[in-house]
Amino acid sequence: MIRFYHIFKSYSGDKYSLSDLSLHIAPGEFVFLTGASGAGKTTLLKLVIREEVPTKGQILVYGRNVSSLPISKIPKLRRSIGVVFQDFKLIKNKTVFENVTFVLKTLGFDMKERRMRALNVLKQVGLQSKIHSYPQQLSGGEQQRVAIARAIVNDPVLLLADEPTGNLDPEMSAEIMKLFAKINMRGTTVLIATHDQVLIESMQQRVLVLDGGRLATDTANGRVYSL
Amino acid sequence: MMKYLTFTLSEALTNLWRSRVLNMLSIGTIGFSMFTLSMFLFLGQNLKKVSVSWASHIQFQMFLRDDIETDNRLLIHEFLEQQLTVQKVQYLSKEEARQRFQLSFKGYEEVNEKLSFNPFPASFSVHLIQGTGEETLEDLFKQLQKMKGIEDITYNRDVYEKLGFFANLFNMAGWFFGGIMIFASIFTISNVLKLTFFTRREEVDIMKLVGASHATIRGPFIFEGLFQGLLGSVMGLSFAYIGVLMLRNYLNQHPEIFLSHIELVFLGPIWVFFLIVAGCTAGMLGSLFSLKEFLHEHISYE
Repeated sequence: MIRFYHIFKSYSGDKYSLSDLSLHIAPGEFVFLTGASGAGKTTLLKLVIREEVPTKGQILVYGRNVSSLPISKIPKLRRSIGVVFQDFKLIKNKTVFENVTFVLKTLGFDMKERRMRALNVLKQVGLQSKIHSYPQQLSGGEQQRVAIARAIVNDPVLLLADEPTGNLDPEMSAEIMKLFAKINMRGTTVLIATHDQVLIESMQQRVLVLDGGRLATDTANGRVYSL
Repeated sequence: MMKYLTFTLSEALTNLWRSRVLNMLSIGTIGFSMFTLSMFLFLGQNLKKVSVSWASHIQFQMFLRDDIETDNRLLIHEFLEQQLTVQKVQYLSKEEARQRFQLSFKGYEEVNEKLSFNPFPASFSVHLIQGTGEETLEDLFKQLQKMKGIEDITYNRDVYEKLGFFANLFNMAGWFFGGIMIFASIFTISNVLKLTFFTRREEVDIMKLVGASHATIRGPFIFEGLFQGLLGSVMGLSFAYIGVLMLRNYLNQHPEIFLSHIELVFLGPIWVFFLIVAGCTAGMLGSLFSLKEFLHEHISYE
């Protein structure tokens, strides 16, 4: 699913955000990416969706070499990946329903299909009663659930989340994690960047620890993967 | 393709309505420039029409000396009638000239009564066929000047030339000011759309992240510019047309005004179509300029 081969990423000069990073995430895996601020978590996610290009090395996502992907092919890559952000990134003047269907509208789905998919996905995240609400009328947890609904509405094979519980209380964070687990059980690969150690421990999934742009440890249920 | 067009059009119309106050600025600017351009073109075309109409009825007056012999007068008359370029020759005797003065200037009847002699010369009024060139006319004058008994030849060529000159001047001024205004419109639309992008950057960011194609992201903005141009040019032309109707009405009520007898004609359908297309193009160009800059700075895929 995702393979990093000796990835280096520098934004300026000799300072590297990621340094000689190699990893492999198999299809259907649930993986946490953790580390201190500035460890390179967000950079890694940006490289996967080709928002950034590595300074050196190769990245394969579902067999596609993302590092050398032509610009015209980037939209196709992103259609197979769902992304969730810490600040939700919802469109304020659109309702919950419109926020979710907007993605489908952009991708050319017809009205009937849009409606069916949006209602289905909003039901999955437990927001079927809030479809006419605007983001500012929702709690932080609800807004994040809308963002998750939007990310999975076009059935992506990979779901990336950057600090998805950063703005939520522990109870709400646990709810959101359950939702991610549910999505993962359907076969979607999930990669979550977070520094919330309590949450990571509670989920008992594979954990990649970044330190200074390098992969420090790679563990799953106490087992350390070879680095 | 249909899905793309439906999405693009619906997004463009929604966005136009959503930022209607800001968009009115663009529409107003393009409307004003189209109004200016169409009014100048209208004036130029109507003046041209007058000058062409006058030029197609070229005539000159030839005044005869008081002591001209009848044979000479008849010779001149015969010479004129033989010319291919001459359509009609009218002779006006001294007495007829005086009578015409009395009829035309009724308040000055006493002038004639007080004078012991008739000061008005006999004359020939010569109408030339349509399209007579200036060289032919000059040749004719040269031949007439060689004949005996001719006092003076008057030809109001200056008026035609001036009128033609003003018609061209109005057309040129129209293109000059209209051109400047169109560039100002492109600039305004470009900046207004930049503001619109800024308010919608999150939306565009999301579109980019979910894999919307370049065309899908750009389409609504380009159509927005096009609609602004379309609405602006239709508005400008409508105001110009209302202005022409009002001017026509005013001139009908005030026949004493110079050239008030002319039937004013608004720009033809080809011109109207051209100006609307020009407005749409200006809108699209404004949109493309700002898009290029904005997409590169804020939401580039690169």
